Amino acid sequence: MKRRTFILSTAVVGVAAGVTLYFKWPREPKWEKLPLLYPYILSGFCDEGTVRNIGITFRNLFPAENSKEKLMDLLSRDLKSKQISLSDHSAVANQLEMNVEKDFKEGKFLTIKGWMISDTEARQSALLSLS
Amino acid sequence: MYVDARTLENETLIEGDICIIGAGAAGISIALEYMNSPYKVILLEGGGFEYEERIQELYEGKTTGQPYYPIKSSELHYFGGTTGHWGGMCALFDPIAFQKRDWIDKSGWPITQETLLPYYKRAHVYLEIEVYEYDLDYWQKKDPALISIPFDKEWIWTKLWQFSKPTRFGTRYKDTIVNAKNIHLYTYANMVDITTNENISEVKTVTVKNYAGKTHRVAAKYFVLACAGIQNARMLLAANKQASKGLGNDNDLVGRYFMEHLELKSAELWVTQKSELKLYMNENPRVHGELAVMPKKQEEYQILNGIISFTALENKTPNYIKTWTNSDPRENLKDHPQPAYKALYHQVKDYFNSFNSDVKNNLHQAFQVTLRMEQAPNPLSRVTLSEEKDELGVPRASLNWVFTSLEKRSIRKIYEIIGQQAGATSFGRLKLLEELWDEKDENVPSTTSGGWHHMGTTRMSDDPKNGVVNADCKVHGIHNLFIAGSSCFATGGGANPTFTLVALSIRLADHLKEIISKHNTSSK
Repeated sequence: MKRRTFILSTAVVGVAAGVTLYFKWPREPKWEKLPLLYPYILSGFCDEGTVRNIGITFRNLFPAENSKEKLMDLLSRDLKSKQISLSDHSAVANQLEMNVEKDFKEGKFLTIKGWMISDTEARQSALLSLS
Repeated sequence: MYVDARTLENETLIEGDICIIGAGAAGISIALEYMNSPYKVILLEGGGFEYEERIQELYEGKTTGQPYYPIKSSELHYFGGTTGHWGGMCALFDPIAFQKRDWIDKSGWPITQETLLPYYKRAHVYLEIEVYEYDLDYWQKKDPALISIPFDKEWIWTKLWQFSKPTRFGTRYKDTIVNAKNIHLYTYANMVDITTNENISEVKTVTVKNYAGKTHRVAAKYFVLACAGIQNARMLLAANKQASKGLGNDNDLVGRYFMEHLELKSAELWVTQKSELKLYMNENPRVHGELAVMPKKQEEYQILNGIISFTALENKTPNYIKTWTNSDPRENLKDHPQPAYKALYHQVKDYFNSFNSDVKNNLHQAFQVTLRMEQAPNPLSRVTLSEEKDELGVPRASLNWVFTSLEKRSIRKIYEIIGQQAGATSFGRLKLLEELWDEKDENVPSTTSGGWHHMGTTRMSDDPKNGVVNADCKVHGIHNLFIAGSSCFATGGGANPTFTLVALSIRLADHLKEIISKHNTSSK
């Protein structure tokens, strides 16, 4: 093999391996690090851009909730009352999941961009869109 | 016995005890009930044993209102009738379908589901479905993989369907009917008129014609009109020489209350755990589940009865109203060949899928959600006569398919209930397609299809002011004229009509036997 061909082949293989590793390397999902911002189930079905768009639409529909402070306050009320620290991502995620199910049971849900989502999920999306 | 009416001498008088007009699922079922009886049954079929374009053309008509399929291609006009392209899906009409529901004007049948249950069981024989069992537990014990979606049982239940082969009545029962000594089948005998006595209380004869230029009359003690949902109304309306508004139409009800099953593929269900949903997949050859809203919730939300079915999103199909556009039914049923590049794409995709365990295990992340829903009885949704006539001189049918505001509200609510249940159980999320995004839009989406189910045009009620036929399917005011088929349905239920119309036809056959035996006469 000529030297030039060898270098070129190695470079191509290297780039291919790099790209593959970049996309396939297991990374901690964002919702695990920032559960308040990422509606867990919805994030499994939509890309981040869609979730952000849902959040923007929600903020337009409900201008009274169009601020980080308000959304944080609404989303973390249960966490505060149950003394769950925002740094305990797993506990936060669990509590939010319970809140989402409760929302649906109590009829607190809405349709945005076609997705039927709970009020909690809509607020999480809105918070994400402000981040 | 079988006679081609084209070969008879012109103006032949055909006589029998019972004359059944139309040899589709309803007419043939009734004829089969009279096999080997002492009664002479005349069975009239407008076509022959095979599809013929010129015969089918007699069903041509026009439609207005909500976009609908070409009328000509939605009911088949030859021996066996529309079972020639029937899908074979069978389910019981729910008890609520027969009940008077305060929130649905003109709902309520004069019979209950219980009345029909023994006839449903007998209908299974003609439809060639082996096991008469619509209880989910029974099938789940036989196959534990038929797992229900874990929604709250106070809201949602799984309605069970079974599949006929599907039985094509034309091929399955041709020899049986032709060889029956007391059943006299006449093909190419298109009914064009009905003649009654002077005070229009009794049918004396019906007139039949064919393209051979022959006209015959049929006299019988009892007549059963079994020409399918649109044609039954058309024939009664067209019989207007003695009754100017048409037969059985003193109260202007014939043709009104035309109902279909609305079919919408307007949502997707995305599930948190990839699932097979085997119970709900059409691939299951014997039974099939669909989600239905519990009657109490239907009442609470004042909605129509609708049923939800699922298809893996990668196998999704378009709305039929977009694809069934040809007036030749055979063209609509053709599989159109794929372009070469698409075929190659699918081959490559299948190859890579063979390494994918989800594909191998039939696991899916998302499903197309189809809603099939009854239509509210609506007097403005109707079949009338067109000014144009067919080649045999009968005015053509004109269909105006329209809805009330209840349909759109019910569509939204049913999807909403499914979405709520998916969320409350963390089973997944429902995504509505864009045609349903606007909550203020009261129109039913233009993509709404029908199921080729023509119902209600001679609706059943014990009150002549509310129905064309009584609980025994007898036309009010005419003692010997009966109607068979889904045109007698007072409401459409959530299920396809063939199973119920066959059950109702068997019941009618029993009733006719009873009244005939009371008079104890036969002309055999």
